[in-house]
Amino acid sequence: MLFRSHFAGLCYFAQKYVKDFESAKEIVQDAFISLWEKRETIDMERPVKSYLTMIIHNKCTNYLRDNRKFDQYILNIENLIDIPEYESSDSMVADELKTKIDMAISELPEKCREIFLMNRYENFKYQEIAGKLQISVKTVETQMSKALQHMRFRLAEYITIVVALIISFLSK
Amino acid sequence: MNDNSTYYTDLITRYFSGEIAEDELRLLSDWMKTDPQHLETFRQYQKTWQLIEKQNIQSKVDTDQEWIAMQAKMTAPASGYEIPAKVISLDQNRNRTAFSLQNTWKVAAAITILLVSSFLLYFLISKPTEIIVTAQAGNREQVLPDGSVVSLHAGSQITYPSKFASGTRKVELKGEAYFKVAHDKTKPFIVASGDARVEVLGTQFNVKTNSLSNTMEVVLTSGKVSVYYKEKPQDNVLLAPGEKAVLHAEKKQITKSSNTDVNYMAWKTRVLVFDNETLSQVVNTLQNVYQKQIILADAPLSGCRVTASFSDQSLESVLQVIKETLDLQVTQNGNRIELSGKSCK
Repeated sequence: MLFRSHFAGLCYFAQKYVKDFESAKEIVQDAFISLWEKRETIDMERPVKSYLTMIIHNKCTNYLRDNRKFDQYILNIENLIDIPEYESSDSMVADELKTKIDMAISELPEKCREIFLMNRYENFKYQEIAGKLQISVKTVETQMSKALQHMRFRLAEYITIVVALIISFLSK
Repeated sequence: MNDNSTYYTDLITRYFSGEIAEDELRLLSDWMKTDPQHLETFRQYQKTWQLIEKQNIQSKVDTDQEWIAMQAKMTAPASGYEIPAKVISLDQNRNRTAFSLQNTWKVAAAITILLVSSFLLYFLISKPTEIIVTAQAGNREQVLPDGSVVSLHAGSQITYPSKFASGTRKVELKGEAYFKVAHDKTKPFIVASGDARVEVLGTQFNVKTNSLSNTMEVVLTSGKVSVYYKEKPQDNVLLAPGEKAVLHAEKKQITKSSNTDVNYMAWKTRVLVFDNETLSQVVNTLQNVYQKQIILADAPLSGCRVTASFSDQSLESVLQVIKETLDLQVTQNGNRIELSGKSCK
């Protein structure tokens, strides 16, 4: 079903806007439900995918507006003002890259890695991590920052490649 | 690197983690506008973030869980769940209508195929595979997916899924096994044999099933255990350490008693303790532990008393000691061992 093949990819798409995974998931779910409720009136000949991305885009921008996490300029930089193209291939990552990422994560100092994984993989907020590990929120922030710097450094070659790919793709 | 860039890196990290505050957002935005270099830095972090999240997303999303959650939300309003076999186009054009009628069948067929195949796929992919472990010649230990340890007595077999589904940890037993169950308040551990159930939370106990007499014996070492037949879970028997429950399948009865058999775990520990025990009881225990048929050839021998303890001894050594003590003869008759002699000293 549509759901199974696209859900994860759409979550990734929504997360580009709202950053918070749980909210992104909810938005995607609501989008599917919206689609379902309107099934009688939708022109099924148009690809459902683009309909979903449209709904999700709207819900996301509403969310950002409501939560005051809205900055026009940054949104523009991130290319999220107009609805970006959603490709299902978006959600697939080459094995080589995956290995590189895993390796980079394993290189992080223990506490740093733990905090990073708690935030990215287990979806805990800074406040929650600070509580669980009995450290200050500031420490969590610093460690997260260190982690991201390390990841940026280790994935440098992929960043430029990705940019090149995106540029070539966009110029088609 | 000076202090300034660390500050903005922190901001960028907070931004991508979704932790940024409104005023900080403006600061970040302004910073990016002042220098194209800053913009470039931001872009690089953005790419880094996206790569991590892309790789991440598959593991973060449990599609099955989401499907269920969504279904719940969908059935809340009154609309029933029907397959959309009808497509209504807003266009009133006749040509259009004819076209969409044809389309309707295609859509219906496609959806049916998708449903059926995803249904099959669901079972193929998400159903945990069943694992069957059999102890053939000797005893055998097995670690279960939740960390619990099962010691199987020779000739016994357990069946369990490769991954415990939410809610319970169910294991099927044929024969005899000793369980050391890992603590998990959210998932009770259940040993099943036919309709009988032994339910535990985290504990150590011995279960012996006998397919011939259709009985099951449970002896609790430590912890707490609830024993019942699956049709009548409310008629359960709670065991305390040192107690024994015997279940009779035909009558679906459960009887509780104090466990008097000190050697109920001897098959596993290889420690035997006989304290003024009758020879017939001793022979029973030996049969159970060593899996050999032993009979008393002469009736009066059943009343003989044995006081001895053995630790990790072979059957031969044990019989040797008993033979000497009680002045008996031990003869091997094919697969049977016979003990014969006159009355005891």
